[in-house]
Amino acid sequence: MTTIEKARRFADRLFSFLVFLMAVAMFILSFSLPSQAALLPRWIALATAVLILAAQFKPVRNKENTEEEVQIPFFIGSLYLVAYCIVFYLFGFRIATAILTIVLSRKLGLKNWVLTLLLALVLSVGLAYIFGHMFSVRIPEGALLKIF
Amino acid sequence: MWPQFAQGLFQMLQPGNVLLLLVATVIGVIIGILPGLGPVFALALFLPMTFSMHDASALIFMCALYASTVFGGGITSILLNVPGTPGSVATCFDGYPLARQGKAGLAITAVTVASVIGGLIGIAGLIFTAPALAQVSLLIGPSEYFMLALLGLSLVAIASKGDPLRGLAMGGFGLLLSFIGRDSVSGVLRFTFGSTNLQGGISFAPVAIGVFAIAQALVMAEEGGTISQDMAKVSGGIMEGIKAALRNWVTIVRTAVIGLVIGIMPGIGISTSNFVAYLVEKRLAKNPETFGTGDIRGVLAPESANKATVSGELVPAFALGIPGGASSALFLIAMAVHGIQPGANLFKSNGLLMSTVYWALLISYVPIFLIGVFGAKYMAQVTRIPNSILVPPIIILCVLGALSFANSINDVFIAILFGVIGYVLMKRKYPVACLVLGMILGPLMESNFQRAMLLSHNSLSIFVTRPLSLVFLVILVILLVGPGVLGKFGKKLHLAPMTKGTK
Repeated sequence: MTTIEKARRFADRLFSFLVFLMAVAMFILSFSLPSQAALLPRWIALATAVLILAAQFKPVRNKENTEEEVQIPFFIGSLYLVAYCIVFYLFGFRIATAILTIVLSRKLGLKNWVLTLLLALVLSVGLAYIFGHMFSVRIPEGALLKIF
Repeated sequence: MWPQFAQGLFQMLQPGNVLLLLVATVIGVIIGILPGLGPVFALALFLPMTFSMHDASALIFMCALYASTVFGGGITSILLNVPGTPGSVATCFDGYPLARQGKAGLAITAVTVASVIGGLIGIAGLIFTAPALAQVSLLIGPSEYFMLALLGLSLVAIASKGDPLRGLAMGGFGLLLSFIGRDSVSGVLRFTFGSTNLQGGISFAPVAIGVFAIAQALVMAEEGGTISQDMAKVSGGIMEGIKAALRNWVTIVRTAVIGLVIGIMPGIGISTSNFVAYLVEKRLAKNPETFGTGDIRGVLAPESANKATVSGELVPAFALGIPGGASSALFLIAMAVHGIQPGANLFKSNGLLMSTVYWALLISYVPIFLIGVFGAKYMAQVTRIPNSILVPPIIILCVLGALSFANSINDVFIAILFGVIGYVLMKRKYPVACLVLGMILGPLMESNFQRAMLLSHNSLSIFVTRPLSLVFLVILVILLVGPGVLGKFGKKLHLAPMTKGTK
């Protein structure tokens, strides 16, 4: 099994475990609710816990033995997205988007710096302008930048 | 009915709406041409932009986007031998051989004509069957509605691509997510785990954007490179293509009807209808051996069927509020955001809106036809754009889309979280659509469940004493248990003679 497939399997197990925990927690919490609001969630929580557990015993038929050519492995891609969320929260949409665009396009093989910077500018400033003015979206400025 | 149709046409032909339809068609064809990015991705990516639009404009945009994305998939199948959407897999079988014979122009034109005719038959089906089905919904009570929604969700889990067990688990997970927040009937706060952010519940729009669009961007980031370098040349063949399609009108009409019927059935959709249509045509052909070598019927059948399926999928969504697949689920999200309730009332109180939707679907085939006949070869060049340029805009559009839902930064985090979850689910063969369907059906199921319990004085017997509810329950049990029992029975039947033989 390739490293990438191992990582996917680990992520699947982790996700299934979290869904199982959530279902069990909702099943237990449902007993503290009035019966009308508790009955259906209780059954669905029980059924989901059983189903997600049962799914773990069913093998997934993936091409596990073939080496995939991977540009950005999903765990790295996910880390980029988590970092993007943090920078987005602290420094706002424009800075976070510019950084993410530059990092992603360079990692994906875009060699031309002018094109990279142009893409970052269009996505961070251009799209923010379009969404802010045409769709009345409040573009976040960032918690840190707000303070200063 | 007819005055409303005329008003609907008038509303559709407002300059702003025509412009939206044209923009959506061009975007849809481009996304459809890019392999891996199907109609679900397109609808999820552009769904948030419809939030700030007028309700009719939003649905016009979505209808045109949906129809044109499915159309775009066929072009890639012919030119690159790579299906642009799951609905165009069967088109490759004869489309690419035709292109190799220098008949790509003929094939694309013929497919365009078949798409227009198939689309028109699908729209006719939607116009006549959806209101009739909506009337049926008035005759059924809350217990039947609950069982029907449960049946719909289970059907999608069983029939869709992936493992049914995992599909059911995802449906359950989606339902659990929909229970978080304030109970719509009693007003009780539930399952918020002490978080004030969860008191309003988890919105399904950011979840849909995450699992359908951000997850796809992660897949593209993994793959890198460009989609294609080798493309068949497109030249001439316009009149020949039109003639070839019209000569095979029986094939087009027959497969459109097949596509429509498959579309109405929950959980099956375009990924199946194009195959079924292809196989039926091959079976009925006098010379089936020509299929797979560049027979024009081999491209007309799947492309006519998948266009009719587009409208067919909307029938249960509009009539009952029960989506047959991920695309129609996204339509329901857009409708919910605009306060449009599906069901019988939709056709009475929102008759004008529905007429506009019919016209939008219908008129979207005009630019589709023009693009198909004159612009396909230029549009297909988008497959040369590297993923390094495609991935960042997709992610940023998703982020802005999630943000535009309620101007909340939490929705961005939810979309990104579900993007990562969606990637894992896709790669581990979970039917991702079941998660979103569960979230959409959750409130409908729970309100009907609670009403049924009130009517029966908290007795579950209502679900088995009401005949139609019992019928739905029996079908559900057969669907869930049947394949396993039949499998074991079948194994025994096959094993018996083998065992005898070995002895």
